[in-house]
Amino acid sequence: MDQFPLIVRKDRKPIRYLVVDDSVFARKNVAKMVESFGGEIVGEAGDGCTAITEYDRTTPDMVLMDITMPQMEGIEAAERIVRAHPDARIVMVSSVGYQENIVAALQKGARHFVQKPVKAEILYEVIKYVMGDDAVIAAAAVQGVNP
Amino acid sequence: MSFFSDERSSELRELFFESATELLQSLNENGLELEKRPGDEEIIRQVRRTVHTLKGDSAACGYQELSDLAHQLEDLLTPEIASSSNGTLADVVLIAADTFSSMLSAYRGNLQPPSGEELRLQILALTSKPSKATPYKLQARFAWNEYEQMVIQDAAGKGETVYNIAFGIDQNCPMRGAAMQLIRNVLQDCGRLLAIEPDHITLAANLDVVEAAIATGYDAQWIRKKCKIPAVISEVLVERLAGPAESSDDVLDIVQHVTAELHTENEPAIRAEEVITVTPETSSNGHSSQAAAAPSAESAGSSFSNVPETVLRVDADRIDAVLNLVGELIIGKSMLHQSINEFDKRFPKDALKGRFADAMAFQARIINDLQKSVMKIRMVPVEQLFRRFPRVVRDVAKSCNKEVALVMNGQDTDLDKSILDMLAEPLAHLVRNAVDHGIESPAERISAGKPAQGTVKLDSYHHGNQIVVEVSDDGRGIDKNKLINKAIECNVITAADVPNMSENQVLELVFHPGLSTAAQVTNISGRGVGMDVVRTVLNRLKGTISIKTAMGKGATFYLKVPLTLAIIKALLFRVTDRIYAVPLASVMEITRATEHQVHVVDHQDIVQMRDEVLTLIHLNRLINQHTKAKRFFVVVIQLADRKYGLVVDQLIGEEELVIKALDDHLVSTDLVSGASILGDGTVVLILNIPNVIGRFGRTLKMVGATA
Repeated sequence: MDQFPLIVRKDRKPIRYLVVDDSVFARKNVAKMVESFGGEIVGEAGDGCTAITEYDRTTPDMVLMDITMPQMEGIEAAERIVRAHPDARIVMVSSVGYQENIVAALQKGARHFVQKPVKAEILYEVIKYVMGDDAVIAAAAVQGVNP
Repeated sequence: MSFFSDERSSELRELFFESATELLQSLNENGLELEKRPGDEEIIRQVRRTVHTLKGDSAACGYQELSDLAHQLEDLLTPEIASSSNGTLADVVLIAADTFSSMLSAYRGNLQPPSGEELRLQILALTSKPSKATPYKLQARFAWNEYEQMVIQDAAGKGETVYNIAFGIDQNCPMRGAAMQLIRNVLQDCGRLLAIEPDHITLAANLDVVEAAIATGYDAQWIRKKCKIPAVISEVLVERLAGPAESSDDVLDIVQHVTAELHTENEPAIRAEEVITVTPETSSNGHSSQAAAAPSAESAGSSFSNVPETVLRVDADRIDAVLNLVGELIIGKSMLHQSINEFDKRFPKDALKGRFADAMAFQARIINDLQKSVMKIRMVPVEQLFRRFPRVVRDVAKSCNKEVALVMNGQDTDLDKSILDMLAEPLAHLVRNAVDHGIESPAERISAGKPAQGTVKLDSYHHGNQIVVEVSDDGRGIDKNKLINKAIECNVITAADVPNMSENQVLELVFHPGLSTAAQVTNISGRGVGMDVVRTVLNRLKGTISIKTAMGKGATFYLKVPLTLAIIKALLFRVTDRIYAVPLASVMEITRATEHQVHVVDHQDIVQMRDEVLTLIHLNRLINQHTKAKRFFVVVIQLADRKYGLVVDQLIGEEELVIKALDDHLVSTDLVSGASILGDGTVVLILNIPNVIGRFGRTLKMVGATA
C-alpha cells in the first residue's frame, strides 16, 4: 500500500474513526487504510442501530458508513446521528448502483461519499477535505503517533 | 429511473415538455438567424445555451437519448466549427430542432424515441473536419435566467458579495448525481445559494459542469479551497460577480483555474495552476466589474441592468376555474337584475329603488371589469402562433425550390389562448398551401413579370368583436375553372349548377373534402389536414373563413374568429316556446317581414331586403313545426360572404351569455354549439349558425341533390 503523509487532528492526536459496514472484510479493509493514514479505529458496527450507539459511546471524529446494511440502513443511521450531533462528520461508502441513496444521505447531512471499492488515495483526500481545518498533515511518519 | 416521486415527476414532466417546446422554438428561430448570418458568435452562443438547457432538462427527466444528442450538438456549437462549416451548421441546428421535436413527441406518448441517426451523422461530419482534439477545459457560461438574475441582483443590492462558481466534475467520478448533491451541500456551507445550473439533481452520467452563484461572507480563496471537493471536482472557477469594494487586491477581477491535485496519474503533475487575469477597474461600483468579467458573463450582465419582469406561470385550468366563477357571477347578476325589475314593478314609489339601482350599476361595473381582467389573462399575442411560420415557409420553399419571403404584421394582436392553439394547425396548412400551391416557381414568376421571390403575408387585426387572421400570397391565385372542373369530376356539383353559382360559392368548393387543385399531391400539401378540416376547425371556433383571389395576383384567406370562447354577447329570441341565442357578432341587422313578401325560388323561401335577396331559414322547422305567422322578425346573419335570414317569433334582447359546453351525450346535435343559463334559470341554446344553415339553408350540397 502506498505511503501517505500522516493526517492527524489539530491537537496532534490521531483522528478517531467509527467504521460501519455489515461486511467484516470491508470494515477491516477500510480500517487498515485509515490506520495507514495515522488514524485510530475507536469503534466498529455491523448495522445502523449499533452504529448509533457506538457513535454515542465513542464520539469519533469521523464515521465511514456503508449504505446497505441489515437492521437499519446507512442513510437512516446517518440521519439520526446528524440529528443528534450536527457536527458529526459522516462519509458514505457505497458502490455506484446506490447513487440515489447517496444523494439522499447527502441531503440528510452526510459530508461526502466514497465509492466502493475504496481506493486509499481517494479516501485520504476525502478525509483531508472533510476534516478541513480540524486536521493537519504530520510532515512525515512521526513515530509518536501510534494507533 | 426517476429520482422524484410519481406525482412530482409527472408535474415536472409537464413542465419539461412545455419549456422544451419553447426551447425548440427558439432553436428554430436561431437556426434561421444562423442561416442568414453564419458565424455570428452571439447567435451560436444563444443556440448553445438553448441546447445546453435542453440537455440538462431532458437528462433530469431521464430522457437519455435526447440528452445525449443535445450533448453532442452542444460540443459542435463553437464559432470555429461554424466558420469552417460553410453555413451547414445552420442546417444541422434546424435538423436538430426537428429531431428533438420528434423525440419529444415520442417521449410524450411514452414511445421509443427515434434514434436521431441523421443528426448524429451530420454532427459527426462536422466534428470530424477539424480534428484537433481540444483538451478538456472548464467553460463556464453562467447564463442565469430572469428569476435567478433577479435573486442575484437582489443579493448584490443588499451589499452582499456574490460569486459565480463553476465546477468541472471529475471525469472519473461515476456518480454525477451524488456529486451534484455534494456540490449543493458544499455551496450551502459556503454561503447562500442564489442559483445553480442544473437546478435539480440529475442522475445522468454526462453532467460535466455545474454552475452556481452564491452570496457569501467568505473570500474567494476560502471558497475555492472549499469547492475543491476531492474525487468529485477536477476544476473550479470562482468569479466575483458583485459586492462591496474590499481590499485593493479584491477589487481586481480574479479568474482562477484550479486543477485539483487528485488523479494526476494520467497527466503531468500539475499542482494548483493559477491563471490570474487582471482587468483594470474603471469604477469601484461592483456592477461594472461583472460586465468586464468574462465574455461569457457579458450576456448575463447586460440583462442585469434591466429591471426583471415578474412573469407568473399559471396552469390554464386555474384561470378557467376563475373564468367559470366569473361566468356564474354574471348569471347571478342577471338574476338580481330580474328580481329588482320585479321589485320596481311592485313598488314603483319605494325609496329603496334608487339605492338598488345604484348598487346594481356599481356591481355591474365591477363584474364587467373583473370579466375583462380575467379574459385578459387568457389572452396571448398572436405572435406565439406566428413565430413558427418562418421555419415552415423556409422548409416548404426549400423543398419545392421556390423563393419565398414571409411578411408578418399584427403580431401583438391578442387572442384567447385556446383559440390560438386551435388555429395553429389550420393556419399552418394555409401557409404551407400558399407556398406550395400559391407561389409559382421563380422562372414562372419572372415570365409573368413578377419578382422571382414570392411573398406570403400573415396579418392579424381586430374587427369588431372578432379577430381576423389573414394569410395571403402573391402567387398564381385560385383557378376557378379548374376548381369547377374538378368539382364536376368528383360529382360534387353538376355542370348545370355552374351558371347559378356565385363567385363565392365557387370558391367555397375549395373547402369541400376530397378536392385539391394541385395537379399532384406533394408531401407538403395533400397530407391529413385538408381545407375541409380548416373549415371544420373554424366552425368549431364559431369563426368563419373566406377567400379572395385574383388570377395571377394571388389569394387571401380571411380567418375570422371570436375574441374568446367563454363568454359571448348574444341576441336572444324565441321560436315557438323556446329561447335560442346567436352570437351578436354574426347578426347584421334585424328586420320585419310579412307573409306576402316571401317568395319561393328553387324550393327556398327568400325575401328581398333593399337590393339584396335573403335566403330564409325557418327555425321552427328545427322542431318540426310549420306554423306560419303573418308577420315575423327576420334576424339577418352573415356567414362568410353570404347573408341569411333567420325567421323568429319573438325577439328578447341582447345579453352576455356564459357558454356552457354540451359535451356530454345529452345533446346529440351539431346544431347547437352550447347552452347558457339566464337570470331566471331558463336554459338557452346557442345555435351553431354554420351548421344550422348547412342543414336548412340553401347549400351547395342541396343544389347538387335537387338539380
